[in-house]
Amino acid sequence: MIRLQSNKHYTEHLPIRDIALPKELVVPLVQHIGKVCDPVVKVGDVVGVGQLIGDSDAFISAPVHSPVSGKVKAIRPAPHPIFGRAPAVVIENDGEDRLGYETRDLSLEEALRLDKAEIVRQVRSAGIVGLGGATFPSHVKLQPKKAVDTLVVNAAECEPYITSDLRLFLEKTDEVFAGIRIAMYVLGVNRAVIGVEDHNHELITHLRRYLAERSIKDVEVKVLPSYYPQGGEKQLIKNALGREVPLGGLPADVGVVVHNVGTLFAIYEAVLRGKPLYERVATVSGDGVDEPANVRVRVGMAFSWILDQCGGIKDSVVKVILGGPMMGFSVPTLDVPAIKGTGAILALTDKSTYYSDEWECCIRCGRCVDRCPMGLMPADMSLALERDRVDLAKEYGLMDCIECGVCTYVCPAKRPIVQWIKKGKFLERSRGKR
Amino acid sequence: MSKQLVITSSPHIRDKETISRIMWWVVISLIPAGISAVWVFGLPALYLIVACVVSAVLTELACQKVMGRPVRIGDGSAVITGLLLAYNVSAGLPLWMAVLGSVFAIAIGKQVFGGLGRNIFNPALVGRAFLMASFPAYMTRFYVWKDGALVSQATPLTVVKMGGVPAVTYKTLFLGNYAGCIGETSVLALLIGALILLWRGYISLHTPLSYIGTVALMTWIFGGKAGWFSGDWLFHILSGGLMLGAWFMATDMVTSPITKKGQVAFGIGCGLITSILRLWGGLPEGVSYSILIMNAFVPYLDNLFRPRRLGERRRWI
Ligand code: SF4
Ligand code: SF4
Repeated sequence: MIRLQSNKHYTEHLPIRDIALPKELVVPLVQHIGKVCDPVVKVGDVVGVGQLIGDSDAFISAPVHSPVSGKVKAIRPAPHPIFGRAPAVVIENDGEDRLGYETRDLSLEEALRLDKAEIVRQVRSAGIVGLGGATFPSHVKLQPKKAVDTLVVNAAECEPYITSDLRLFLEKTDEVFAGIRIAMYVLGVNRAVIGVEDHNHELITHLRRYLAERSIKDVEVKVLPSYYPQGGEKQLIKNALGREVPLGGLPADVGVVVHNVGTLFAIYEAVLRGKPLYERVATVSGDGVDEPANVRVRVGMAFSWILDQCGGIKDSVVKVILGGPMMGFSVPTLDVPAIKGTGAILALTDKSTYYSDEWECCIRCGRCVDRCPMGLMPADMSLALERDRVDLAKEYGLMDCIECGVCTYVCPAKRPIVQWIKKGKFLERSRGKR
Repeated sequence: MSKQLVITSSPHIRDKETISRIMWWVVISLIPAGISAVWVFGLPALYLIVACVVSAVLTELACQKVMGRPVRIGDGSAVITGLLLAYNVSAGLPLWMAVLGSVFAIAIGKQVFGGLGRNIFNPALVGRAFLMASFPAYMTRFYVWKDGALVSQATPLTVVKMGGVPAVTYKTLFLGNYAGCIGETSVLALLIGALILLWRGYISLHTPLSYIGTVALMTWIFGGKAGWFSGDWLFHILSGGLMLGAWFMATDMVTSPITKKGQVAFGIGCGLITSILRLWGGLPEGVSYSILIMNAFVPYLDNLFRPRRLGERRRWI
């Protein structure tokens, strides 16, 4: 665990705002962990906002919906912010924002009388995935294989710069709480714990007042120290509840399910309003952006478009990142589209980002070992992986690594440990498949 | 828009700490002991320090050139080795021998293993062991600086080994005005340096305290003439190379355990060996050998004292 400069001052007080819609949107058919969707529309089809355009019958997958109304121009591989290239549906926006899904107007009470399986089905067909960045399909997390007793609401937002969940929770408190209620109902739990980092004074006061005014007793606010990675699922469960997820296990093994604020809001929208997930709140920030902002982005909007709506980027920008600076992905071009997991788009100049590829030998300073939030031995892993010894790296904890980046951040030798770890895990997984 | 963007793996931000910043802070932390050395042992000490440092850096440069490695003499690590070697020899050691020790320390103790980070043994101690083996007479005759000349004098630990009673007060031992290796005598100067390292977070108390504590305990129990529990433990921890070794050499990042628990075990091991050598061994002092011996156990200790993983059951420790 480490303390990071939060850099949230850029956007933490800025209300969420809408931005103009582009002429063309490129919607990737894979925006989640799991199986890639197949297109269910053809070139030339006219689609409405929220209309299903891609789906798959796999359990671990999430359908994709059109973010605008207009015409399907093409279905082809296109730049993808994480995978480089991936199949996508290109939609020409007709500017009418004509709805392509059936809206609903349920009250929370009505929603809580729905069949649980029906809610899970709605969450799935709305294409909801974990919006904290992991993009794991949410309907799967609403059906844990073991009985659970607590819902943990991840409001830790431990990555620097990102304020999208903070703003969403402040501005849409009722709606997020409706999402919490629905999740509690489906999971059959009667306790929810909201994990918030202690620097979020405004949110903490707000939530405490909210709970007190309504005398809500079964939801607690748990204030956590502002350490990175406080929002890591296992770290959050440990620090908010004192429970330890067993190695290689899932939160459900200790009776917990974790959902983040954005995801719960999306669940509210899907269940009470019938709205599929085609837009989300993202923080656009960094010292390379002229007007940092919290904006509502639709999937498929090009990064260049979104950044232009925030005043454009400076010439001195060297990296544009999807997500936070610790775990986010640097994108090769601004043509890549926003996807469901886009909690932030950061444009960083050389002053605020590191990009040298020089590194030195490990001096065994132990900084990484002392701080690894999983209790692994990153130094030894890095030495093993440097020599392609995946087998040795596994002994030091390779497969338990959460890729939080702490080891690499603190390393005085600037060793690209996480990069090696990702490669090592990939090699190990593909070896398993063969 | 086709802006040229850099793609790298996460994380995209890094801490400011670098190897050279760590190393140069260690150099700074060694300066008080150097000042004390010149104060107690006069100009010969200064010459030794300069000779050792310059030859260590030049050897490093030569090795890196010859072995085709990137030249990194600016990182300060060779300076540390030079300083520590100088601090570990007697003021009367001829300069050419000191230079030889320095060359050996860097070339054999460090570069042969692959350079900084790959060496198993503390390079300065390798250099010292080499000098002990090659020139034992020069390495074991100690002096103090009186009226512009070096005057031979036995170290307090030697006096004890011979069965005598050393004529030094605790205060003298603390300030360092007595015979010994030039950088080891002033506990005060060494502690000032140690505080710098602690403040910078480059060392923790685990190794030094477990090391010094073990020596105190062992010498208290077994070190007295009047039976058990009568030893002068304070004398033992203040004299000889213990402070220099415990704070600056047993804490060497490269050659000590990486985990805190491992460091405690390492410190206890060093303390046991040092005490055994001092109380029952053939030599008056045992700090450098004990650290070298424990260096060899580091991989084993690291394995034994792996941190507990989050969610891991078992762990007897
Ligand atoms: S080894 Fe993995 S879990 Fe540990 S600090 Fe590094 S990235 Fe994080
Ligand atoms: S932080 Fe870097 S140099 Fe230090 S032990 Fe870890 S890998 Fe080695």
